[in-house]
Amino acid sequence: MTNLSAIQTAPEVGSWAEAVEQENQTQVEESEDGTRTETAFTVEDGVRYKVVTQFKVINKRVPKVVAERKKWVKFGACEGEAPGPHVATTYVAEEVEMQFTRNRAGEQILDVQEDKQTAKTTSREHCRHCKGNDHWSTHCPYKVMYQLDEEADAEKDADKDRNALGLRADGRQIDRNRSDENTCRVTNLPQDMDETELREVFGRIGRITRIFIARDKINNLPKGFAFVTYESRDDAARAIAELNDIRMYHMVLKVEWTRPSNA
Amino acid sequence: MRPLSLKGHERALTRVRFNREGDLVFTSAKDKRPCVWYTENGERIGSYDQHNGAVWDIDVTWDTQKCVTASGDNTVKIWDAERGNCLNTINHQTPMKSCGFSYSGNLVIFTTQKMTKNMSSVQVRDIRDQSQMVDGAEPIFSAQFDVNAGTALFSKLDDEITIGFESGLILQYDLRNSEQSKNANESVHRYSVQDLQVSPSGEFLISSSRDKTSALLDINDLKKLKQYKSERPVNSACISPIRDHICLGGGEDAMQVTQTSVSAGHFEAKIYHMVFEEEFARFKGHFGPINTMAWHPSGNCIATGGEDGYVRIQEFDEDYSNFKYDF
Repeated sequence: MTNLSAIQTAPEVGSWAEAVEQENQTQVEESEDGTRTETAFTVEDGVRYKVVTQFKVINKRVPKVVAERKKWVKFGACEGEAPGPHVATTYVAEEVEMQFTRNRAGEQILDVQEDKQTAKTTSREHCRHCKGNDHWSTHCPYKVMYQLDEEADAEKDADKDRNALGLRADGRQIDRNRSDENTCRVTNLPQDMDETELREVFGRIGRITRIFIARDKINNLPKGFAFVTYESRDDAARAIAELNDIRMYHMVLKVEWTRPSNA
Repeated sequence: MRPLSLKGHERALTRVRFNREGDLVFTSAKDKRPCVWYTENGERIGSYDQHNGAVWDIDVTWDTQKCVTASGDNTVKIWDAERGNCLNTINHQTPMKSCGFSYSGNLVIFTTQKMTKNMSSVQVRDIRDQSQMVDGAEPIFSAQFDVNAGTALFSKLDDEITIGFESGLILQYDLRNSEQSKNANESVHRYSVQDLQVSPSGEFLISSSRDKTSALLDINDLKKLKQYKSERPVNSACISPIRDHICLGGGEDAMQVTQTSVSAGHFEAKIYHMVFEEEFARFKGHFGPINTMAWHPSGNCIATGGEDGYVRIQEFDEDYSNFKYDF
């Protein structure tokens, strides 16, 4: 595999030691067709290898300033390094194919669609306002718009809930002109507390016009909150002052004003 | 297409830039050492060592005499490009995010980050005037903003600057009449503008944004001319100097890289037709998002810098040079 002619043409040497030296030296040959052959010897694990490197010498015409810059002396982290690319910092990476996603006529040849699909399922961002998958709800550009809608919807739902229940539970007609401002919201309500019991507790404060315990549509179990409407606002205020934080079975009742529905 | 892979940085790349002839490539990363390399063979010539924090941006003058770097250690430094000596240091109270030279190389622009009571600012200083190169000196131009100015550059000669904000706003100032901004475009991007680059012809600006698009803007009035959609946030985009092509690079957030596979991360660089806004080719390479890219002045080579800490110098083969987009 090795061509020994290079060694044979080495100049005469006086001693054996010098001969070894000569043989271990790097030899450079340049031929007319612009190829440059470097022959070097390396010893690895006691085995001597001959390394033949062939270069193609290309002469390039470059602007003068570029040629000047070829002479820059290395500095900083590279100070004192030998010329040429350093193996620690530079290497030729694997072949990379350019993938054409469209052919010359502009038709799709690579299936980018598939990528999009997988991207969609792996993407964890989902906006609950605009149902987009490219951002979180908090970053939704249409947030303000949707938020108003949502609140209106929620209020409507709650109304519907109450209406449906009001009719089903006791056949009572829905009180269209119930007054929100005299109503307090009771939360943290024990499950087994029913309307009579609630009326008993809240009736001590003043005359109650309406009591509504929210129940689940399907299994009719209390949801844990109720609305109590008094005839006067003062009574409602007193109920909030007196009945808030009282103990009821194992729970501590929370009594507060209802949130205005148009907020 | 066998690219050169350069591993001189320990951390994510923040900027790659060619000098005017394209024989050198300057790179900065979140480690403390910006580097300069020969484009031809990927040989590292040196590093500019003095920073004590992430280096966010590097730029070089037209004659490759000086470099400027902006760093997280609250300094902007001007360097002798050939020898790696620091010539000037400008200190500030907050990290510097972006920097650049004017066309003549006499003016330098940089942006500072918003932090506690310090507003984000954009400043222009004349490097010939030593009295401007000290801390607290009065710059030629200075403007303060409530949102972070992420990227800024000279868009026209030494006269006009363009600033991209984290809110997606792009502003343009004329230094000759710098009381008010000259142009603004707040509709084109919804999220942070990551990068702005001027086309080699000087007619267009290309902006990249986290809203997964990149936009081609008219450099005179910031009007949106074209918009390129990608499936992932775009970190950088560049325009071919010889053909009507643009290249986009980006990918999923660094934060989420561990949760995405290489194929799903879209770490490829994508080449779009400038006019038809259609992607026609892509090439792989990085293991992480591409943070920055630059097109070689000759047009047949692209340098990309990724979150993975590698710089890749990708020379195009005949496949690309023979490709003709029919319309």
